[in-house]
Amino acid sequence: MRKYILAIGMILLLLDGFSQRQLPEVTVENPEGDRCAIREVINDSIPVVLAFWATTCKPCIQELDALSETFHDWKEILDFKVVAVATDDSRAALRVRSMAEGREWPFQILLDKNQELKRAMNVNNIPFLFVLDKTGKIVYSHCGYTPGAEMEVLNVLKKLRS
Amino acid sequence: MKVVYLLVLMGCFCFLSRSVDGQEQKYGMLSGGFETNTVYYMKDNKTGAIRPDDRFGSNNYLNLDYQWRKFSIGILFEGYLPVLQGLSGQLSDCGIVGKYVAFEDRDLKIRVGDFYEQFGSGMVFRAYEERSLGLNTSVEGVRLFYSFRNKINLKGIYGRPRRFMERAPSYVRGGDLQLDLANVFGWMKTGIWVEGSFVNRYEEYVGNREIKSNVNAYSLRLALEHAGVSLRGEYVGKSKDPALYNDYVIRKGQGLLLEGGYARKGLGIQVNFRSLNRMMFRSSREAVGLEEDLNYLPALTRQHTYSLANLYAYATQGNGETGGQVDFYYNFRKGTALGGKYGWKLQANFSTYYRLKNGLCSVGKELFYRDINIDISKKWNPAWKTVFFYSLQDFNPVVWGKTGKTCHAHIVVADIVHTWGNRYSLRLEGQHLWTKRDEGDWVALLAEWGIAPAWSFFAGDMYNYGKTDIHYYHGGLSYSKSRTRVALQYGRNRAGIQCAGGVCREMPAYTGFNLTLTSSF
Repeated sequence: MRKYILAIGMILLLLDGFSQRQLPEVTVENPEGDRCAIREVINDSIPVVLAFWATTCKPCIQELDALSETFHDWKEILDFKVVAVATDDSRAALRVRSMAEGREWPFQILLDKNQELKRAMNVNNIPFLFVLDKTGKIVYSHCGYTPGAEMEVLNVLKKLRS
Repeated sequence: MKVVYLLVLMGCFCFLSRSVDGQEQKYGMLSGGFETNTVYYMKDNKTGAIRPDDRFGSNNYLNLDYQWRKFSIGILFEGYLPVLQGLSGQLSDCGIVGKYVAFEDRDLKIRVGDFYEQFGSGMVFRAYEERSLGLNTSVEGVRLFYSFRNKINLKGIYGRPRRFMERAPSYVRGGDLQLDLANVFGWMKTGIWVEGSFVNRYEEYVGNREIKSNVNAYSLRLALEHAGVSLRGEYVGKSKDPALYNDYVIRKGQGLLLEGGYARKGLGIQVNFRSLNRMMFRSSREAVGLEEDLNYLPALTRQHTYSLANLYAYATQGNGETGGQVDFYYNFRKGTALGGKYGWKLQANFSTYYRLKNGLCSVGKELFYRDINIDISKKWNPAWKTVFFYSLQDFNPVVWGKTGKTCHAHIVVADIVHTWGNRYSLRLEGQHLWTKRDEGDWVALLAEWGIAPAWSFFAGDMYNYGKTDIHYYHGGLSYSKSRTRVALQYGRNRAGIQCAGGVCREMPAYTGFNLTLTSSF
């Protein structure tokens, strides 16, 4: 067992500093059923908050609600957009749309029905959030959600502005 | 020794990663993920939890992917040292269980190796992974996707489904066609899709019974979209498939799924109706568990996140059920008379399922499951948020293969969050379940202290005072930084139903320490 624990520790050490920097070449869908390449979606020359979520994930919904509550205040001082990628399968596509509209999230919603983007970005657990700068480079990532964690996202976006 | 292999493999890839870091466009991009879920089991006479000879259970996953322009290559390594209790013992030892080479363009995708895929709603085919339930139904073979100007989308698959650490004794091949009529005719405000799928499973049979080596399944689908209104329908059929999972009955299978939805700013409504008649479809005739499913028949009910509301979860009766659900979402906007200063959100759901009477869409007298639930989320001021939840459930234990009368339960939950500044938060969750059947009444309490964005400390107890007088206490902490999350927990876990994505399985009781670690790069 000691070998095992040692191995995990060393793996973590090796992993530190080797984060994926770019979005992969993967296509997703919008709620209307149109396919789009994820790199094209984020190619607006503004920073993007990319959040992975699912309709059955409670902390994901808490995170998106928190972002939604602060979104308009942040937009007054920063130029950015939020893209929320639902990892629900195609069966839940209608529920994704109903929930997103019903909660009035001011985000661009995408569907990753076959979880290809989730796998390509090695998102093991959701919620999982990335911030990309205006060139599409991943500058921040965080897994899990604790109330107040969205303020760190705001700080990252402020740094990108300066 | 296996751990050493794992370490060496990881080290090599990290070294390669260093050489390409910063020049991803030119030399490609290496990424990967590691996950471990390790439990130290302890004997607990009170709950009946057993301690195996080897006190540990440990599920481990490591995947590595290298992408260069439109090409990618990757492996998936799994190690069960040994497998966690409750999951199949056939998940054992370590090995590379997945590998692939792929090309992906906007209109063309080719993948050779292990792949995941879903046709339509999954009623005829879905290959997917759900680690929390020990599921990986990937197929080893070839997958093709071609899109002609987003008007016609074609998919093709051919391969052998995964069966635990090996392959099933069958071949699966199929195709899926999606025709986007609105795109063809240039309609801008209306969407119409006509779709169809075909799947064949070949498993050689040389006996004398009336069993064929080939089983075919098909799906016909129609979807309409206009001004926020969505309508979808899917009819599926399956040829005679006598197998262990349907008691070798020689009959054809059928299924119907109808969905409707309406969404606009602040309002979302969704309605599902589904009827299934002998639609269980697995990768071999002798398959016994979820791990060998070829199709995907999740429970179309609300998957609850509160522990007591999830005690009596529904399991889809793939060989005969009729039912449906309605979802309702409404946002009472802030600044309105009803919404108040901060607004509030309403979510309600109703679902009910009955045994199939004699043919598709017929409704039998036996109720399998019913759930009426509502929750209200309200922000009172910058520091206080609450969620109040109520659920009324009728649960027939026959859906889990048990006997007994239908359990009628009321569940209430109060979920209160208080924050101090942007860093500290305290979440208190109180739950109560009333029922006169099964184990009687329950109460549950949970306190969670959060230090944003990284730390969370929690302690709770789920107490059955109706019959067993057992406390299921637990406590622990979690830490997240960047792409790594570590959680350590100690406590009692009740034998019961665990669900993910609408698919559920029964898990045994255990008491002990649980370490979960996920990291990606």
